[in-house]
Amino acid sequence: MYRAQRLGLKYLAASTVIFGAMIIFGLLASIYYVRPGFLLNTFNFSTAKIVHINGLVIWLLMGFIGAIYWFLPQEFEREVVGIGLAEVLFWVLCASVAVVIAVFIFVQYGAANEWSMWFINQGRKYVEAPRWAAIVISVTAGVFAYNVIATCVAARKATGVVTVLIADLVPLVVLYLDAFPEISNMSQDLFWWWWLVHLWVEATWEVLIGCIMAWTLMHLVGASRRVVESWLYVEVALVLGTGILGLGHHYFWIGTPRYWFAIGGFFSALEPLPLLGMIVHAVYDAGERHLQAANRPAFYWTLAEAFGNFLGGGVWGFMMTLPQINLYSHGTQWTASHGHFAFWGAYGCGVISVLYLAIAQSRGNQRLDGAAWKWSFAMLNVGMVGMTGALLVAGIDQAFYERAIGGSTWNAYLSMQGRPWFNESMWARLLFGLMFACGFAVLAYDLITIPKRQQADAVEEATAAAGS
Amino acid sequence: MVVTALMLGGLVATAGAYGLLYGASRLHDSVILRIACWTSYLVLGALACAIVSLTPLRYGWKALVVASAAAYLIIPPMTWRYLTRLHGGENNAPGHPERAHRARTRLYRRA
Repeated sequence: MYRAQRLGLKYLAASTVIFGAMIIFGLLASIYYVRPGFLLNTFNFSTAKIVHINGLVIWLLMGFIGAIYWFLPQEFEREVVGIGLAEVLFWVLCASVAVVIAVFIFVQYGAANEWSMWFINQGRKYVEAPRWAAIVISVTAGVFAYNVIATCVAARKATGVVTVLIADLVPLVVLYLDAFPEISNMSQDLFWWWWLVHLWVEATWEVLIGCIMAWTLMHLVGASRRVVESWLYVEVALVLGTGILGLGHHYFWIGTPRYWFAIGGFFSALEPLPLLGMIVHAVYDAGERHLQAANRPAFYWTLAEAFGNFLGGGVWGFMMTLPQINLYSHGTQWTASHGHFAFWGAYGCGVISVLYLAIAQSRGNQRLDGAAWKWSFAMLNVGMVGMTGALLVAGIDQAFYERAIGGSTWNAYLSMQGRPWFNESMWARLLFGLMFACGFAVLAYDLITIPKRQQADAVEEATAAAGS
Repeated sequence: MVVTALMLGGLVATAGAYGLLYGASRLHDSVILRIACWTSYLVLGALACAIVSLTPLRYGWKALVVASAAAYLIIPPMTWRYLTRLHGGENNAPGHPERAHRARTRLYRRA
């Protein structure tokens, strides 16, 4: 095994730990909705939410990086250039994440000055990590991009997947720099902040996961490179064509010009089109393999990625993307419902699929099966669908009564919190969240015990062979 | 607003069902699946008509819904054809195991 692959496994393991932490803080955040006095003045909702959503960004990012370090040496049949530096930065990044979480938990907030921005909280949603940690993330992303590009140059070979990946890494690194400027005008600040959040999630990350899934399909079901790369080009063109200007669907209530509503609505409405193609592709692949693969967990998680992306991004997104609806649904639990489902479908399932694939490959492509992965697959997906369903009901209630009828006043917001539909949905979200957490526990158990179970199976087979 | 949103979501959901059933019907060559596939597209068409005639969306957005409904009709067959052509081309490539297998089978039959 290459050093880069060992590093990839470490990244994937770290991302799973952060995924767990993110779930714990998500559960905490959901308790405040049903018990508003929970941990009052000790640990506020806003802090739980910060750790939850920043954890989301970091677990997925580490998962992507881990997946690419896993596949890259196989792609070039050589060690990754600059791997020593990448190994050092992995530990620096892990230590930074631990320190940032500890500061969020124990310090929580500071005075409105430079010190707080550098060492406590930078104050921008999704990228709240203090400035020093944002620098660590930038350096890590920069070194990661260097690893990929330098390896490609050293190998004197550029495959289609790697070319797309390199083209994507440039905006991925550059857009993160958008986390740094200090803009005192709130409208301007939010205008540029969305360039980071939207273009990361609906453009560069989409391409990144496209490349990762292309490699996954090649290794998992033996899909040919020509097929996978052709499909990747089509998909990337369609996703970028619709996703980039879909940016306008965020430009509500922040003072941007009106034409953004039409631009955002139009391009977002086109986003389900490539996703439908992805569904047909998934059916084709599943049918061709008769739903069988040596690595069934990875195969099923890959299928879940295609369907989850379509439902979370396509159906949930289209429901609320046209300006007449977005005007009211913007920033309600409806958005949270779409966000949960789309992140899970588009990225979460993909990272879990690579986790299983990498574990199997690292152990000589041994067959992975058993009951645990099926339970975790079912509980995680049912838990997620339940949470998003509950949030959808709460969000529709909120958009209608608080926004459309109540006129978005403070009074309407407060009276909304007492409405039965809203409250019952919040309880349902908490219960499905618990199911999701149980699913994660089973997933972690399955991943940890795979080596032990394989050893036991090997001993059993050897004993049976000796007996016969 | 809520009804419009649910109908829009329903439109894309039925497009997904149509795509899924289209693929399944091509794989299994089943009449029931084919009927289910076209039924889901009929539901999609009915939803598009309802959105156009019943919702307060402006004309431009209604035109976009109609255009999307038309695009959803052609995406599954187009994608399927593209995938079949790609995979077919690959399987016919010299040295591909499947081509070799077919050649062996032909020789066996001749013998």
